[in-house]
Amino acid sequence: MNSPDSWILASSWLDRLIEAVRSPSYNLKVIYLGVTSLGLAAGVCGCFLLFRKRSLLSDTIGHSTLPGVCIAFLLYARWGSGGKSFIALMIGALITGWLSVRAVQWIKNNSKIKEDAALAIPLTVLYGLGVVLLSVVQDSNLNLQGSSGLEYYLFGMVASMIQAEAIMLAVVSLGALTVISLFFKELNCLSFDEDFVASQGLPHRWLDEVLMLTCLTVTIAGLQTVGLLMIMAAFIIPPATARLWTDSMPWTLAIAGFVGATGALIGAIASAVIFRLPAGAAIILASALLFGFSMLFGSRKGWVVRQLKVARLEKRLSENQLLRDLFDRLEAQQKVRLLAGLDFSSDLARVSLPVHDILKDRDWSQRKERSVARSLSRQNLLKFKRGDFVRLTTQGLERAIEVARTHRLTELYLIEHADVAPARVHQYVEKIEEITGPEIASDIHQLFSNELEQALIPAEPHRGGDTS
Amino acid sequence: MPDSNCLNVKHLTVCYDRKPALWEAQVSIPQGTMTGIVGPNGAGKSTFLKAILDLIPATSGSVKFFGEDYRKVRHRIAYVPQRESVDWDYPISAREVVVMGRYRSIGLFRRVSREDRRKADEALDRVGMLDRADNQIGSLSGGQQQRVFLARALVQEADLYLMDEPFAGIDATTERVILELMRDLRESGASLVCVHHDLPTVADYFDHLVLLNLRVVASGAMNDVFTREQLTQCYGGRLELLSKLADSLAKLEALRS
Repeated sequence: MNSPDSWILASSWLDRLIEAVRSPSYNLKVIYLGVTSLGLAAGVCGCFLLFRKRSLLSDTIGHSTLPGVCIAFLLYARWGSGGKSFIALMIGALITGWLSVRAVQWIKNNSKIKEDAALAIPLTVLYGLGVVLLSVVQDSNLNLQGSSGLEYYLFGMVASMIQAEAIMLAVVSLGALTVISLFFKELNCLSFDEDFVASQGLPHRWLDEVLMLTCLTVTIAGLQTVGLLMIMAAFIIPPATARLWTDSMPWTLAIAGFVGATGALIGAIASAVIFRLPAGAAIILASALLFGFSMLFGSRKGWVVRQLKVARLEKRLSENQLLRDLFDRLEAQQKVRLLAGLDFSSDLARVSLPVHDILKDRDWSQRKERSVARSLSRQNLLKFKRGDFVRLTTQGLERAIEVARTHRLTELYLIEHADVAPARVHQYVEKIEEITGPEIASDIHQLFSNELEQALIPAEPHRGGDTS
Repeated sequence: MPDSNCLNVKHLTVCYDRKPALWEAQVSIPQGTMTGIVGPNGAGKSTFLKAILDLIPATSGSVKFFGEDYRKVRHRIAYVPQRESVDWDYPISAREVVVMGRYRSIGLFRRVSREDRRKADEALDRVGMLDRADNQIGSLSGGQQQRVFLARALVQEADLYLMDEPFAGIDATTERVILELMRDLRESGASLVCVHHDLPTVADYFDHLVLLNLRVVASGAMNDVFTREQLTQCYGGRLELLSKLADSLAKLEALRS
């Protein structure tokens, strides 16, 4: 049983949720505008960071803004009008954030340190400096007005967002999207193949700078909303999610923007409804839910799609195996080698074959035998006779010959050109057949076309007792 | 006076971390030729291409294309980087990659026109990849990816093609397609310079040769350069060892039979 207290809590919680969604107050609307703008811009910018393998740069920038924020606060408290100036803090964050980007490049160019460590050093050093400064700022002896709000910069807070901040976020977002759409062609090329952009004489350094500055601006603008500890997630999760749904860059940008905006909106609502829930954490968790959903159901690389593909592949493989086994049996009964060009249809196709007996060497369940045979019969490649006997149709026989031919030529190829022991070659080919597409098959056919008569099917190379 | 060489390199030196990767390279390549650049691993073959294209800074030396600075004749030169140099997981189709070859002539702030797409399709057709134009590049085989790169160079309609290992790790079909295409290009007056890794085919594929091993060991027409002495010098006797081994193996076979 729930205690009455928690009931009241829960119901007020629900009421607030309904209110936040259906009839948000003016303040809430302001917040929604701010966070969706940020989510959208961060998601889109993040795509370029992701493909340039620079995702962690947003983390470095985020952490490095803390000393800037603190110094700006101290300076403003000393010489400004006191309290907190949102603009001053932004400028402070921008300066140390920008410094960190330069530091990463400098370390990379002037030492043997690799990219990952080059990113980590400014991050930790500047963040450490920031933590020290924060403890100075919040020293109760100094009694600086407004210093208690500074921890919002760590974890994010949307409840206190004012109209000016929301408008700033919207403007920054619009600006970032404009820059990206203006240079989309070049930025796309830069992310794919930087050397090529350089060899074309396009201004690749300048483009890179534009991209970095855009990301820097969006990061700084979003600091107070998402918090500097987690801002990187706003740049990484949406593009990673989008990648699971599409193979086109414009769509990746669109989906990443959508995921970023949606995640931010859901997170902001949660943060508005649940007392003391940091907005940054809520936004990241909401985006992560979208990511998890896409991991499962994404139309390009989602888990379900991949399982379906594997299942389809295995089905085709089993069908080929059955066809090959039927062919082997036919061949054994005829005691002759078959010529594909011969008029085989009339006699051979009429022979009934016991499926179960033929498949006894394979570890197939009865159910699998039935379902594979049924699938072939649906494609009109074989017909069921009485009992478990089947008969190949003309097309079925043609397919079977093709399959057997490719299989044996591949075996021959491996024995002659890859030094695979004849006794083991069969296993090999069974395994690699799933990856040999028609192109490889035709290459192999071509290779042997001189040595064998065009239409001849070689005897199984791994079995002793050559028939010739 | 118009220069009959498509490429003149003088005293080109490149260093990585003060360690020289290329020493005082001197190369002249006449127009309308197919030139192979061969040498052992780490000889500075890719470095050579990248340095003359200004992709990595040279310590010293001068490079002239058609008697001019690279900056002035960029539009006449197409570069095909090594296949491994890009991320093939990138969400882009084969056609979009090829269209990139037109970006410079399209210019900033302008959109890709129908004409550009038509030219891209034409190039894809020439390398036999038109039916895969809409495929994501990661779903293509290595050889097909190489052909897409080649198509991207074709749409630049250049006079000089610089290719970094176009024959590395590709299937027989692609090898044939690329070779035929390169010969067509030469017929139509273009020049080609390829980094190549496979000694046995080099004499069949190219008419000029640059032997590189940190410095230029020899360069010139195939018959003058592709000699045992020069190769031995370039490969530092390793070739000698291989041929000795082959000789002794042949003798052994002869004894047995």
